[in-house]
Amino acid sequence: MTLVENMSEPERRSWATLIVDVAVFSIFLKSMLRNGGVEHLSGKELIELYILIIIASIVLHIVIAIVFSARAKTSGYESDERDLAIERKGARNGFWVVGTAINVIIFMFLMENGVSGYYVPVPGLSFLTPSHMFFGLMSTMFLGDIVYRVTMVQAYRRDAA
Amino acid sequence: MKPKTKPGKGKVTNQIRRIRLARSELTQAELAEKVGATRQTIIAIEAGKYAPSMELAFRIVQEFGVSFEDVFQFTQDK
Repeated sequence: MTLVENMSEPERRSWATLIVDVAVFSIFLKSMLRNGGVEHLSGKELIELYILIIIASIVLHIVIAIVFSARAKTSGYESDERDLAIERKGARNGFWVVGTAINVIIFMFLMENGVSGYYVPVPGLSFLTPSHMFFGLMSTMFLGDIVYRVTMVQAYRRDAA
Repeated sequence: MKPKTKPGKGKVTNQIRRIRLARSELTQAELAEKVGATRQTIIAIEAGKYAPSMELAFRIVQEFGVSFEDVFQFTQDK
C-alpha cells in the first residue's frame, strides 16, 4: 500500500488544501515582493490582486470540497472523533498564529505612527503604507491557514509512524 | 492542615491488537467499521498514539465482549 493509499480521507484533504494554500500564497508573494522588499502598488492594483487571490482561493477550495464530497459519497467515509480532534488542534494553532501576528502588526503600526523615529525592524517594511499593511494582513491570513493544515498533517503523520 | 497531594502522571495502555488477533483474526478495518471509527484511528489507538474517548473505548470493549480492564490498563508513574 502506498503512502497516499494508506492515508485517511481527512488527511488527504488536509494535504490537498495545504498544497493549494502554499501555491496561492506563493503567487501572492511573487506579486508583492520585488528586489527583496514589498513593492509599492497603487490602490487599483491592490484591489485587483486581492480579488485575484480571493477568487483563486475560493475556486480551488470549492474544487477540493467537490472532489472530496464525491469521494465520501462513493466510499461512505465519515470523519470520526480523532479526525475532529485533529481538526480542532489545527484550528487552535492557526488561531494563535493569526492572533499573534495581528497584534504584532497593530503594535508596529502604532509605534510607527506614534513614536517619532521608530522604524519597523524589517528593512524596507513600513505599516504606514497601504501596500505594506495589505502585505502584512494577507500574509497573516495565509500563514494562519497554512499552520492550521500543517498541524493537521503533522498529527496524522505522527500517528501513522 | 494536610498538604494536598496531586495524583501522579500515568499511562493508558491497551491490549486491543492482541485480543483482536486472538478473536477470529479481526482486521483493523473490520474492527473500525464495527465501532464507528476509521482504520487509521484503530491503528493509532493500538500503537498508543491516540487515547479514545470513553464512548469509543466502551464500544471496543463491547465488541470484544470482555471486561474493560482486559482491554485498557492504567499504569501510574511512581
